[in-house]
Formats: sequence, C-alpha cells, structure tokens
Amino acid sequence: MTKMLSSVVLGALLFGATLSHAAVWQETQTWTPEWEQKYSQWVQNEFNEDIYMTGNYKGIPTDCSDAVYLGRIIFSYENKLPFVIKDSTGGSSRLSNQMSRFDSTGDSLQRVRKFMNFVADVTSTKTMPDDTYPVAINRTYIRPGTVWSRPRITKDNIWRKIIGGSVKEDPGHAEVVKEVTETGVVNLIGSTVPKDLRMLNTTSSLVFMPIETSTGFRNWKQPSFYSQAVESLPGYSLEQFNTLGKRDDGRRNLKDWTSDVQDHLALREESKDEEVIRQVANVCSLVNARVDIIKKSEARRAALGGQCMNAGDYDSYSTPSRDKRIKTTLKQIIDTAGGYGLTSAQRAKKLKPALDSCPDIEITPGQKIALYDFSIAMLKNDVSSNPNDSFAARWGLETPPANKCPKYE
Amino acid sequence: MSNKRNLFAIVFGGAALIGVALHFFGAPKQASEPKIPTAAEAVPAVDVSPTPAFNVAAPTPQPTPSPEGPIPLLGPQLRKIGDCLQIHNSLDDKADLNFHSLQDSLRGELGDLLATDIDWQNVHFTLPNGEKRRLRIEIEGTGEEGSARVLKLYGVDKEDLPIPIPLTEAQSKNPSTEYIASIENQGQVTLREAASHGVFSKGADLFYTERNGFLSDLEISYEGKGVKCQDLQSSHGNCNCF
Repeated sequence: MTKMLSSVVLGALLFGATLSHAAVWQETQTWTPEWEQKYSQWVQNEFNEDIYMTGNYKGIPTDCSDAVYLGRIIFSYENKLPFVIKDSTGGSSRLSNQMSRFDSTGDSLQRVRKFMNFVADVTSTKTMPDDTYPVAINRTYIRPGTVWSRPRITKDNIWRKIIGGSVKEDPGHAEVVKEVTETGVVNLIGSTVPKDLRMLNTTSSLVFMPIETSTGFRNWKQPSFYSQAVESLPGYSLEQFNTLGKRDDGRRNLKDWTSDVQDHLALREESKDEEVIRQVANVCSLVNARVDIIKKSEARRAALGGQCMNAGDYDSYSTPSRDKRIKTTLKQIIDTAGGYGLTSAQRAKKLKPALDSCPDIEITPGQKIALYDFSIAMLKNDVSSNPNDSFAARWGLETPPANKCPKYE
Repeated sequence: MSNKRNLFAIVFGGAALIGVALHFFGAPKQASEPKIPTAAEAVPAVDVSPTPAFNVAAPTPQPTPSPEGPIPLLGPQLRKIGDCLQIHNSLDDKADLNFHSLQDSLRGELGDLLATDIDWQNVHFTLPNGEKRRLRIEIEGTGEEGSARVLKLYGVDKEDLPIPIPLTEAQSKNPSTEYIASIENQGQVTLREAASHGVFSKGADLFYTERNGFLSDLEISYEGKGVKCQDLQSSHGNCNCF
C-alpha cells in the first residue's frame, strides 16, 4: 500500500512538474468580478511610479502602452490568473501566458520578464482597442485599473481639409486609472514615449475628449470576453462618445466633457481649494517630466556642436505640446482661484503658496528652480520649446538669442 | 479493488516516468525559444531611400478568397449607416463590401474623402521553403512630438505566434514602399489587413479596417452623430448608432 501511494505521489509530482513547464505560468484562478476588484486594489496600492525601477520588475523600459499592458501581466502572473490578448500581427491564435516559447528560460520570474518584453514588442496604443472595451462612466466601471487611451492624435485642420493630402498624426497615449477620488477626479498613472527606463508619472489631467470608439475609458477584456459580442460585456457603453460633453447646440467640447465625467463620478463637489491643489500637482508632475526631455535635448544640441537639428531631432526634442499643456493648466488654476482685473502673472503671484507646495525641481545636478518661478516665466512666454535654444532658454532663465534654425511645427 | 488501485498506480506512475524520460532524454522541445533569423539573413539590406509619406490612397490590396465562405455585401448596411448619421446616402442593396462602394454611397452627402492614412498594416507571406513571415507597419511615437512609420518583421512558431526578427533602425524606421515590397516579394502573400482613417470634405471622420481588400469594420462620426459597424465579413456583422 505504501509503495502504491508513493508511486501515485511521485507520478503526480512528476506529471505536475512537466505541466508547470508548459507555459509562462500556469493559471490556477479565473477572472471574476472579485478578481477584478482585487486588480483595482492592486493598481491603487501597488502599481506605483517605481514599479519598473525597483523590485522584481526593475529595469524594464516602457513607453505608455507598455506600462499599461505590463501592469496587467504582473498582476495576472502574481495571482496565477490568465493573461490573454489578441495577436496584433494578424494571427488567429491569441497571445497568452500559455505560450510555450519560453519553457527553457530559467525561473518563472525570468520567463515572465521575457514574456513582458515580447508583449511590449507586439502591442501599442493601436492594439489596445482590441484588448479593452469602452465602459459606462460611473464608479462601478471607472475604477483603478481602467485604461484611458487613444490610438493616435490626428491633426486635422481646415487647411488640410481644403487641400487634402496626408493627415499628420501624433502618437497615441495610454494610462491607467490609479484612483477615482470622492470628488470624481480621475488620477492617472503612466509612462510616455520614447520607450525608456523611467519612473511612471501621475496626473489628473484628461487632455483629450474621446470621439472614436477605440478611445476613452476602457476596461480589460477577460479571456472569455474575446468570444462574446462586445455589447454584452459588463458595463459596455458608448455614452462617453455621444452624450457626455454635449451641449444644447449638439456640439461637444473637452471642458464640458471633463466636467460631465467628474459629475458622473463624484460623491461630493470639489472645492476651489481642492481643485487648485490638484491642478498644481498636475503642473508639478508635467514640469518634472520635462527635466529628462530637456536633458536629452541638451545632450543632442551639444553633440551637434552648433548645427541645427533636423526634422527628426526637432520632433524628438521640442516640447510645444507639453509646454502648451503646462500653460493651459496654469491658466485653469488661475481661473479657478479667481482675481478678476489682474494680469495672469499678477494672479499667479497670489498663487505662490499653492505653487510652492511642489518641491523645487532639479533641472540639472546642483541647479533647482521653483515651480512658481518657472510658472511666471511660462506665463510671460519666456520659456522656449525650441530644441535649438540654450538650456537656460528652455527653462526661461534667459531670453533666447534669435537663431536661424528652421522650425518643424 | 486492491488490484485496481495497484493497476492505477502502475499505469499513472509509469506514464509519469515515461514523460520524465522523454523530457530529459527525448528529442529537443520545438517550443523552446526558437532560433531567430538575423536581419541580415531574413531581409534585404536597405538600398532605397526612405519615403516618409504613408498615404495609401494607393491601390487596394488584391482580394484573396476567404476560407470562411462568401463575403457578405455592404448594401444591407448602407441604410443603417445613413440613418445613424441622419444623411440621405445613396443605397444599393447589391453594393460590395469594399471601400469604394462605401465612398460611392456617401459621396453625395459627405463629399469626397480628402485624405486617408494607414494606422497599421499586417501582411502575411510564405517563403518558398514553407516558412511563414509576417510584417506589421505602424505609426509609432518617437518622442514628445515625433512619430515614425515603423516596420516590424516576424517569423511564426508552431503555435502560430509571431517571433520578432530584429531589423536595423535603417530597415525599420520610415521604410520606403519599395523596401517593404522587396520583403513581401520574398514569398507568396496570404493575407493583407490594414486599418486606416480619413476625413471627408464636409468634416466627417472615417475609421475603417480592411482584410484582403474587403471592409471588416468601420466607424464614421459626423456632426455629433456616429455609426459603428463590426464584423462585416461575417454573417453576424452589423452597424449600430452611437
């Protein structure tokens, strides 16, 4: 009897051991509403700015969509849940933790890190619409872990509509909802382009209004969802593309859309002070993220030794969109705080205590600037977005001398 | 009963041992990380200058017969498209499921399609030796403001999943049409699919996906109204207003 038992146990162990090497990881759980709730809690508590800088996932470079996809992989792996996405290269199989390619790769953590690299290679903001679906704007479906994304920014202006030609496209973006506050503010966390090893950034700024249904607030498809009609999925809704942000004349705009989203998610109204503090945190984050870009831009400018940047470099190192976003947010803060009859710069001075809540920003080793000083320079149009200008000019610390380099904007 | 238990133990334990023996002494596992061809082996060197334009008002890919049976028509969906957008587009129940039929129906109400750009494109082809290849082209962000058309090349493993084949930056970033064609021409193309977006002269935005020359999904937004059509190549394809 003992022999028989030991045979069975040995057989089971060996059989199990063989099976455990037939996947990146073996799932023992299935996605349920309870697991989605745990995923939300994990994103809120564990999916932090340094997730790709420390711990098990240290050293994984990300762009914006990588950060989103890989977060879902990490939670799935750590909780033995399945991870399944569509094959963006057009194959009929789905990419999943069950793929056997990495069987010979070391331990389970090494396998999952290789799998993460692979998934990052074959996914992007353009694949996200296939792996997520748009949901209703309420606290049940907009929660930590919800994805906020758009596959692209399309610049279509009236001139282009008249003359035709190519619709110039900017890269898309994706972030993860980190928190939905009781005032209905959606705090987001994410990476950016180009792909790099970096801390993630947080913001509460929703910088675009969803128009096409491949954009907006979206929840992950669970493995079983891929074979179901999207209309039948939990919380599926297209309200964010039609009713939200629409005014009496039928037109929609970002300001009203953002306000409607906040109203749908709020348990109570946000006070003016709370809004100012929140917006200052957004500016603080945006300016801090600008440090690395300007640093790389300066290195490129130095390498060129006085030559002008070409179109590719200019696109990579100029910051007009980011700077416009900073300036717009500053103006929003000023509007929120009030002070009619004063200039923007005068009103900004009244906001010094709020702006000083952002720790001084180290723009280069040993040199810091206060957010307040940078904000005043920005509002006076003294900050340069042009990568051919000097480091000091990029930070509003000197007036840039006129340069003859072409602009590619 | 005891004999049955013994038999079960022997069979199960024996199967496990055979499995272990095969694992350690048998043929090498095909599923282990496959050998990836280098860029030099896999693709031609770049010998044509990059062309940044990626406008494919160019020829529609040649339709390839679908293994799933006859392709449905676009005609039955045209009325719903018009209803959703509240326009009086021209109707033709026998309109084929292609981009030109859609344009023909909408032109009178939305004007000409002024520009179209590809969001992404997949091409599958089979080499003369039977190996499968896939290429994917996508607009990717290169920085704060910049983007580039990026070419990626893949082999295919036994699970029908893509194996990245490394390309040099010169090969992958803003490749010319001629260079892409030189890769495709290494084999027999078996699938083309592409997602595109465009704008009509009256301001409507169009997003659509084609598979082997037939529409598979489309979405149009016009003056606050929208229509989304999905799975058009299958019998349960439909259009809904939003």
